[in-house]
Amino acid sequence: MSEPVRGRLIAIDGAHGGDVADATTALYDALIERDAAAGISRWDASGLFGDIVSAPAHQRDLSPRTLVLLYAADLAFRLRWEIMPSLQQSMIVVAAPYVATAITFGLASGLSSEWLGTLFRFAPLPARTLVLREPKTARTWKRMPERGFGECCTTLLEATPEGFARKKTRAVMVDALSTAAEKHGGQHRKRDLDDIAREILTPRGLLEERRRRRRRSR
Amino acid sequence: MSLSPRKAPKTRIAEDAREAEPKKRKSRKRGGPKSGARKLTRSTLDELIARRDKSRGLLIVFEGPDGSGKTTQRKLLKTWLESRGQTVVSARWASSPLVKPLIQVRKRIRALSPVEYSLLHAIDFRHRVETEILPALWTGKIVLADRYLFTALARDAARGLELDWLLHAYAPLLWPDLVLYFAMPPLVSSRRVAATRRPRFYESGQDVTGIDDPLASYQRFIDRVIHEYENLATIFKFVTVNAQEAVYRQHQQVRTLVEQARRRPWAEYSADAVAEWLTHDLAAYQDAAARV
Repeated sequence: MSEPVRGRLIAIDGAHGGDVADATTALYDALIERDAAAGISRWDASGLFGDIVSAPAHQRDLSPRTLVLLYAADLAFRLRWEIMPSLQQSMIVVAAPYVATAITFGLASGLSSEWLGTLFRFAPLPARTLVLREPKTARTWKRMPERGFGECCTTLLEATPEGFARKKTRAVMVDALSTAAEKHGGQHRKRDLDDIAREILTPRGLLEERRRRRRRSR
Repeated sequence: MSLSPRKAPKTRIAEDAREAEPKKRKSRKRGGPKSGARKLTRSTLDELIARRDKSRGLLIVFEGPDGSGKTTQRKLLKTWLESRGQTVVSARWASSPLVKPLIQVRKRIRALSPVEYSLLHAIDFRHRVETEILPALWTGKIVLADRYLFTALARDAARGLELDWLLHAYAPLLWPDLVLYFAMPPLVSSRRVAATRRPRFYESGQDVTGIDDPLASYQRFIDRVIHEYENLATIFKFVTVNAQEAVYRQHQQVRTLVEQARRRPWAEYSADAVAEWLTHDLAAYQDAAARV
């Protein structure tokens, strides 16, 4: 039987890879400053996307569904090697991005919510999900695969017959993220993270998380 | 906490995903298809798929435990079909040029959990369906698949994953027209494998049995795999071939079954898979659009 989980999992999700990475570092630093035992789990820790991007261009004909499956495989790796072991050691793990990023990307690409929800059923529910506020909805993804999931998909989906509508897909994803954020206490800015770190570490914050989890599991 | 879908806590992720589903935006910018091809609606695609059913190729699947003679029979059938003037394409398991190296490296270092193992094979399968199998079928070639998604279902279910989750990971499904299941008892499979080679780590299920000896582990694992195969054979109505019969007799039976095989209408069984592929495959899309 597996050990009970003692730590806390904080998910950070957003459409822009750079923003997610910056917010993760900011939250981690704020937690460490307050002497909390914390760790980070970032996208593509398994190196799957990196390997795909470095494959010859003519072989990289992937569909959005395959990319979401790749995300799920990477997340399974992160859960096994990074997230769960740290949680077992009572650490606070900042997982960025987590499930919401992949689900909203899939929705924006036309995949069904049922398929996406079932696929990510293996991922445990985070204690808290922070959805980042998007300053400019009309921004587009750049073809910078190392920056984040959306940017990597932009690079890999260029060859589809309808073309990859970067701006449109991104805008739909931002919409979906803002809808998701309503369930998780609204969207957050990078400057809010210091306060969030303080709140996470107070007994009141812990109680609030428990209350939220109870409400969600009901 | 276990990462296995069977044991994972029931999350509300599915519900969250539904709620997060965005309302359809009215986009001012029209994202029309590249190369001047006409944008196809789902109803047009469905019509095209139904029309294509008459000229498309057959998808014949060979399933069964290791050592059951699938590859031998597949090769014999290929030769026979080619001698009759058919164009035949063989599709082997876990052979996508893009994903195969990724799986191989991770298998070599034994770094895969059952969920990762399953997802990587689902990626490989999806990539092969989109780049090899569907393009061949669309152009009227016969595809002989040496193992298909049922291999993943049997092996991963034997590793303790939920069948419902596995079917989701492989959805939307492209249903084969004929599934030939080469049945044999676990002991015979173990004997045949032991006579030719030492089973590899994941093949022998050492990741889940925890047994150091590959052969002993294989014996235990193949027992579970065959049990799952037999369940699948009932659910999905496989045609069973006795893998202990002489090779020639099996081949005769396979020939007869293939001659009698009927197409499973795409419109009824596989419309979602084909429509999704059409919207992502440039050549097929242009071909389809040109026919409208």
